[in-house]
Amino acid sequence: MATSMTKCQNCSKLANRCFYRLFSTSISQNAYANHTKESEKKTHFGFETVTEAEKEEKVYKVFRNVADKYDLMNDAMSGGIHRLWKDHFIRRMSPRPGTKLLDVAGGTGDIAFRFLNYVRSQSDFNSLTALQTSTEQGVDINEDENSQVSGRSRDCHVTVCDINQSMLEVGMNRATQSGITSGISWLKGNAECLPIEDNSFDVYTIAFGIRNCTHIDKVVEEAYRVLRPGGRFMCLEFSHVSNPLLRSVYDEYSFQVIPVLGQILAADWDSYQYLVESIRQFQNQEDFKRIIRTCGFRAVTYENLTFGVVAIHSGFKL
Amino acid sequence: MCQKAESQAGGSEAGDHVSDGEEMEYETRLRILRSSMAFVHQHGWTVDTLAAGAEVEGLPGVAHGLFPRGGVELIYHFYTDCNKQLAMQLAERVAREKESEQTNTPGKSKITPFIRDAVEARLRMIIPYIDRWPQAMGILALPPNAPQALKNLGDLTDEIWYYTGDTSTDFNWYTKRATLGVVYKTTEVFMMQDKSDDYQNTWDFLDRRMGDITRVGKLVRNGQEMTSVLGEACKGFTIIGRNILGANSGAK
Repeated sequence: MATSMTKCQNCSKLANRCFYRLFSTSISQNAYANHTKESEKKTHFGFETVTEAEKEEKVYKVFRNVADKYDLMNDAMSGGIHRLWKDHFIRRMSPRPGTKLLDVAGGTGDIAFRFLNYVRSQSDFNSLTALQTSTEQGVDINEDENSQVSGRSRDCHVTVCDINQSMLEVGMNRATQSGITSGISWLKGNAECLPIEDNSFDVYTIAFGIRNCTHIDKVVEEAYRVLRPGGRFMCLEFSHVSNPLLRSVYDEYSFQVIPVLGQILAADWDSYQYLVESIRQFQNQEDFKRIIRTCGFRAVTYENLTFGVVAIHSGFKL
Repeated sequence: MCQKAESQAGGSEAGDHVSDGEEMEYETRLRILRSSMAFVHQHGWTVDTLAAGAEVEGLPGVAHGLFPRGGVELIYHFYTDCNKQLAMQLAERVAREKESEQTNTPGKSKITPFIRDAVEARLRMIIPYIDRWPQAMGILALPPNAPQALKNLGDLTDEIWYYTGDTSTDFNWYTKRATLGVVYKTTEVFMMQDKSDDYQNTWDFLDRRMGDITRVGKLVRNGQEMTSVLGEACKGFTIIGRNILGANSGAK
């Protein structure tokens, strides 16, 4: 990963900010971090301190381990609410026919499938009402127009990008099982350095993936690069609960229940321990909003779901 | 545009960049709103219209997300735009009347026709979109949108009264605008189902409502006089009664 000096400084700033949230790191380690070489720069992996090079590999291993049981564990951990969050996310996007979506860290395809279903049901509805109206008005149904409408629905496309091959494979299997054959493609790639051209997508989404990335600002900058002018960046991610009572309940649940579920259902305590720790290490709503603004997005807003357990951040490339 | 964005991404957070960004956001929204108006007949006042408008401007359809409340923002834009146009027209009319050596403030007898003409002019601005205006009225009546809609109506009536030269500073300020708001609203509703030539029935309806106000106004004034007379009479009887009963020791 070749980086310029300014990006280097940005990364060290980000790593330093993360340090203040680590329970097990003392201040002296910050000084140490500033003087180390770039490849040995420290960052957080859950509540652990690791080098940046190590983090990517560790995260990769986590998701390789959880890939098979990923969807099952999502349902178990959130009581199925994650489906509501994702449904709301897509409704908030309200994509129109012909939209090109890039779903990053979208391994098992939850967002991608919802997107396709939403757009296609919209087009079906539109063509149905157009049919009804023209029948009522006694106008001859123009076959070309109909095929054009359904053709447009096939024009919508989603590219699912993930760094982890196992997650992509789970997604591809799900697609075949659901009978989704067109409008979707799968791409292995690193969110910090996407193998995609500039200005090529209408919407960029990253759902429950950005907190696992080593350099969040790089991810957002890449998002800015690949979006068309007027394109939308949307991020669905765990965030901070401000209400102290709810937060204590949420913390208890996260640390006492989730790793246990991970052990029982997936025989993997550590991966789920990492997952809940990584949530605590991620920026809160306002800080993340600031990062998005700094990378050039405008009209940046966020919306809390379930009292702040999850937040949808949105920005436009204007 | 990309290069400007890159310099922003370079990390400078000077106030200029922030306000540039806000201006860009504002201008982009305005462009989308203006282009969307052409699609109102097709899709109504909905997110689809905004998406179509965005696409005309060369932006992806998802840019409608710049309007989180959806189609109602297009209605507000249209409404406030019409209000501004009306204000310009009224200002011109007042300036014209001043030039033709008439008094600044139209005389009392000139207020009613002035208001009537203003209401007609404003309602005529809806005519190009009248096929979809009932939908707009319905959307404006929804609880989340109603406060803003009421404010827009208030601004409209305030503009009209301002250009009549109204300088009231008491409760009349509110009653004048409220009554005009009611007249405007009822005429608007009537217009939705009017099929007459050039909406002639609507303008007759409007004339009758303006006549109602004048009559009611006179009635209220008479009523007020009558109330004050009655009030005085009651006071007088109370004093007589107290005198008879000997309770009014102070008057002895």
